[in-house]
Amino acid sequence: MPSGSNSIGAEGNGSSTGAPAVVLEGVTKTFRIPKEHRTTLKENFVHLFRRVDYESFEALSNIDMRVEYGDFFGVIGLNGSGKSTLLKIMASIYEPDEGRCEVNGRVAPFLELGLGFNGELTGRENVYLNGIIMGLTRREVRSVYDEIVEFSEVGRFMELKVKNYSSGMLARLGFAVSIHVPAEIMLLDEVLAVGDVEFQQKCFSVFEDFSRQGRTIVFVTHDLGSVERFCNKVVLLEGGRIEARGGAQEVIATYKARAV
Amino acid sequence: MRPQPRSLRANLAILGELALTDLKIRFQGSFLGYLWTLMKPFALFAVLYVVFTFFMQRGQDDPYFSLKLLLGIILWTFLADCTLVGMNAFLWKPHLVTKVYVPRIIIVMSSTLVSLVLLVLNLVAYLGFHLIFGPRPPFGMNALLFVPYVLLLYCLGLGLALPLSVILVRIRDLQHIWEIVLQMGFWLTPIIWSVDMIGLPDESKRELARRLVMLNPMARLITFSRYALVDNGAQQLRPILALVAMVGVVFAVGYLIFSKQESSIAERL
Repeated sequence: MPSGSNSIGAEGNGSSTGAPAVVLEGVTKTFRIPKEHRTTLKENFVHLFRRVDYESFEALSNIDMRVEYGDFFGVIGLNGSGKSTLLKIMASIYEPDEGRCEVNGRVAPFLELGLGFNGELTGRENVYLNGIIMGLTRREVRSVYDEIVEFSEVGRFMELKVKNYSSGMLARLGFAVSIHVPAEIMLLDEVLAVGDVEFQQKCFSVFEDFSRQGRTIVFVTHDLGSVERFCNKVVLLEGGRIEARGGAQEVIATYKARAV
Repeated sequence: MRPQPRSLRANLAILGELALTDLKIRFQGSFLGYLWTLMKPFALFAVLYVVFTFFMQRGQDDPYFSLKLLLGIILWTFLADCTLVGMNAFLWKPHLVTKVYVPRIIIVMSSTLVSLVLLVLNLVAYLGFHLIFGPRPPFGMNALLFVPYVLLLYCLGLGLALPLSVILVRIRDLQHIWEIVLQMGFWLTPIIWSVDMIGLPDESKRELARRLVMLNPMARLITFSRYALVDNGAQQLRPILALVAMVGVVFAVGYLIFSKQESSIAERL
């Protein structure tokens, strides 16, 4: 495995090895949002038999993209441009209305904060539960448990119910679990958003390791600095469409030019 | 479309872990823990028994009336619990739908498995009653039929919980509607009564009423279970096959509805 695969030179090499990690073809996702808002009981009652009007909101329209194995794939764009929806489709949480999404490999998702954490369970119980959900056996979780706790640095709170965690603690523990499960493809949505500087540094060193190991990562963030630093390919989403794609620097330049 | 199909073993491990978690959360922080769940059917039994045998002076001609009543209540309690807990699986555990991917049938099944565990615990308590107040010897060969009956009961409960769970995500009123259905079902099913108590004077109408009652798979399950455990009666095959067919249809239709709807629940939660 050649090192330094995070350089631009790695672009396109993956396609020779066979099926890509993620393929999206013509993916469209539409959500229905209710038009009028009924709040009072009376309003609800009076209009009991009238159908609520829905407006459709196209979160993603006709997206084509390929993520090759070993890509550190950045997704940037304004709020509401469809980044999280895109990741949720890759994680098979949403099913596309049209088009096709093919994922070849096991997926470790880190979507919004905190994985599939159950607020009523303690940190420890959640580590086990989510480790098992993501494909570890109980014994395997036990063997990486100390590492997870050490990485998250919330060791003091492992016996506390997760509903009492701060968002920073949730993100730390969730991220720690998702990097310790065996997955070919990682989906990361805003990992850096709530952590402090120290945690961000920690994430960066993990990212460095990952790109050295040639792991496949789809990375959604607003932190353009880390996109430039780690991503070999970037797409810019705008209103559910891909506005630009290519190397990190040029796409970021387009993004900045458009945002002004 | 799905991320690499996981092995059956991995899915079973997830199912077991989620069921254990549900069980833990259900009794967490409660002092008497599962004793409360035992208490529910037994309290209902005590009240109905007093009203029925002392106030209304019924059930005197059957020495095992109390056992049959208790058994009926326990089986019904399972169905009610299983469907209510199962239908709420997504609403109570949204994180398993919106933040990670778990095959959605596993989310509903894990909830209903907890009800199954409670059913088994209730049946252990029933066994105590049966040994004290039941016939001698306590069980005959026909009691073995009760095992497939419990399996059918679970399939029925899951077959109802699956469609209810996906419809509830769209139509929240279903919670209240289903509670009413369960309440009506409790009285329309031979739980505190039995099919031979149907007292229409006209023979043909009586037969018709019996047939109608027995269209309800729960009526069959409870009646046959009493027959197998308490009366030790020889059971004919045809009514059992009819029961299997009914449960099969409920499960097949329920599963079909579930699999058509499950892909869109994340955005509706």
